[in-house]
Amino acid sequence: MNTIITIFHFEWKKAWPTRAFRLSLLGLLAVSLYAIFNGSSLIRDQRRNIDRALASEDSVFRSVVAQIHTTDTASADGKIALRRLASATSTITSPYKRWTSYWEPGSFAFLSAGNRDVYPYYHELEPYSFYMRFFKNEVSSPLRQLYGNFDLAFVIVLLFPLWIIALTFDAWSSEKESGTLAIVSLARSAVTLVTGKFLFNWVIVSVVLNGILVVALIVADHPRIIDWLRIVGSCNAYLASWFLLCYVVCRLRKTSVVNAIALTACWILLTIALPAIFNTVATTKYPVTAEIFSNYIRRVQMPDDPAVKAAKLREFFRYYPQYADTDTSMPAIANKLYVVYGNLSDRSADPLLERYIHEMRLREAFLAWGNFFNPVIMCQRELNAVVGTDLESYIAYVKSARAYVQVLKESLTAKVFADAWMTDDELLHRLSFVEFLHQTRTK
Amino acid sequence: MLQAINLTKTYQQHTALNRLNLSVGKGEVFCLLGQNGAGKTTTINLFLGFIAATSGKALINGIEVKVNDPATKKLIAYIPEVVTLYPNLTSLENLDFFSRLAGFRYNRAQLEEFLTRSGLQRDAISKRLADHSKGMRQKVGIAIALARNAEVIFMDEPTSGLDPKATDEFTGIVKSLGEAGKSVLMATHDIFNAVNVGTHVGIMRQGELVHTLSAPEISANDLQKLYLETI
Repeated sequence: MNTIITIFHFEWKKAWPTRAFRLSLLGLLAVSLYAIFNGSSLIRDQRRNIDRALASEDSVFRSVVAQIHTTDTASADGKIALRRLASATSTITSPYKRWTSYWEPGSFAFLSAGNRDVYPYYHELEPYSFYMRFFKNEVSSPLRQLYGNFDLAFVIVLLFPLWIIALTFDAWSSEKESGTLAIVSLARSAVTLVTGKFLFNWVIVSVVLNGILVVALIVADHPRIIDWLRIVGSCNAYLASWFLLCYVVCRLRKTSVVNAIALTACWILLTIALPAIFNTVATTKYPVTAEIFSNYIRRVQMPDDPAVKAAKLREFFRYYPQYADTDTSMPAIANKLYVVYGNLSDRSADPLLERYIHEMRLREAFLAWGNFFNPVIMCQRELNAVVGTDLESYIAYVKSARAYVQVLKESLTAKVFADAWMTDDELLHRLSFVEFLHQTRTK
Repeated sequence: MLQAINLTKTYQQHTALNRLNLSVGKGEVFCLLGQNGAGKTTTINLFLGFIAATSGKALINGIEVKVNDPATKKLIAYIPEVVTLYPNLTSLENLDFFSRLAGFRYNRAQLEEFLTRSGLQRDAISKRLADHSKGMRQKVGIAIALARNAEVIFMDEPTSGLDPKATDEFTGIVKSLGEAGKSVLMATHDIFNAVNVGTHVGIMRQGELVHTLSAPEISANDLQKLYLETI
């Protein structure tokens, strides 16, 4: 123990006067704090945008109610306007009346923003057709998909290993090259000295890492301690794996130059080359259907052929037998047909969504299998999973949004087939996405 | 203090050291001369326990040297050819570090005493080693050996790269080590220095100790002539 304390004491004396050590330590601290700030800004902006979308939704419906009350119903135009504003059909099909669904950022989402800015994180939905709205938005920032976000996960996963390499690559070779290894080995095992140096650097890196994670805990909104502990555990285990790799390379007793090249090559291999290779293989081996994006994002066209219309209605009544006695002659059925077609369109697209999710999961499973030995990818995946920015969280959101639209669709379809109008209360106190999620979770 | 009995080291087909026999008594300074590859450093490494002998024995104070054996390691000190030590630490800190690793805890006055005994100027004691010349670093290396309280000191070409004044100072320090009862085995290329500092001089060729001479009984010129004839 005394030997380790001695090594720690003098390693600090050796390290701190070194400009490169001070610059790298302070630089990494500054970069980490900026990454927290940058990630927080990204998530804060997303929260603002979600709030704006919700406020916009509320404002539209309040405006509709206000217009209903100020419409001159004595005139023919006024009656038409009132129908446009208050009928259940217009509520379900109007492109102006939209319900907002959103992918709620978790408390620690700023640490590992993941694909939050790649996938759209909020949607303005129409009960008329889920797919028409949901997959209309393209990936918001394709460039980000290439480079990722400058968040704390980026710093920890990519930059901390470089720092560890810089601190340890010559732990053994520098002693040999400066003639101290021979002198030390007369007093203590050289392995003790090198192990002591690694422990010292591990303590330094751990103090910096965990200090930064404490800052992240302070910055987070309503954090769950168990999530924070999982993040701390993952990051510490990840960096320990880099120390282990550096230790193994150092114990090969090559020169400092060879060690530096070997460890840099390992970094490139693990962070860039292998993930890129597996991604390419995954993309080729598990292609994801694009049909859902191309075929269902357009408003459904009403067929003119009466036979087609009749067939569509028969199909619809199979799903909704409670409406089977509806008058299907024109013009009584005219407005209802939009609802029928929108409903059937979503139903026919549902299997494609399942296929899309299945294919995404297959690709993800292949990547998880391929990168099982790669601590870089495993750490990034674990961080994304803990903070809720992983694929499964996104899929859960997509499925929730789809279910939400179906619930809206069901309730509004009943009103459409009853030729009912929307009340003020129904327009002002709509089922919100968050209420829907709450109800679903309660059930 | 120091004895080699038929000490042999072979690497596959190559014999680095062949049946070496030598002994260095208390207070003696034995200088090994020879070309590169003659077996000087191999001899020192065998005594230090860094490598294992193929056959024969290396004895220090009657104890047979084994690889990484603490029984003999505590008796010896080593000054390698390159004594860079830790450039970011001062002379005092370097000495303190190596002393503590060896299990000795000295106060500042004692550490300064070791450094001044090794010939280091007082104003260099608190300066970083990065600012030291090679000669000054060698002196810190000697201080480390003194602080270990070693009975036997091995030096591997300690004067290579030193200017004449530094070499002269170094010679005086090594002589004083001998006078203090330390046994010194030094590998060197410097014939004149060997004659000046050594009590005995050995000339090695291709792993064999060809001549062993008493230094006071031979002049530098005669030794040079013999050396050139031998190699």
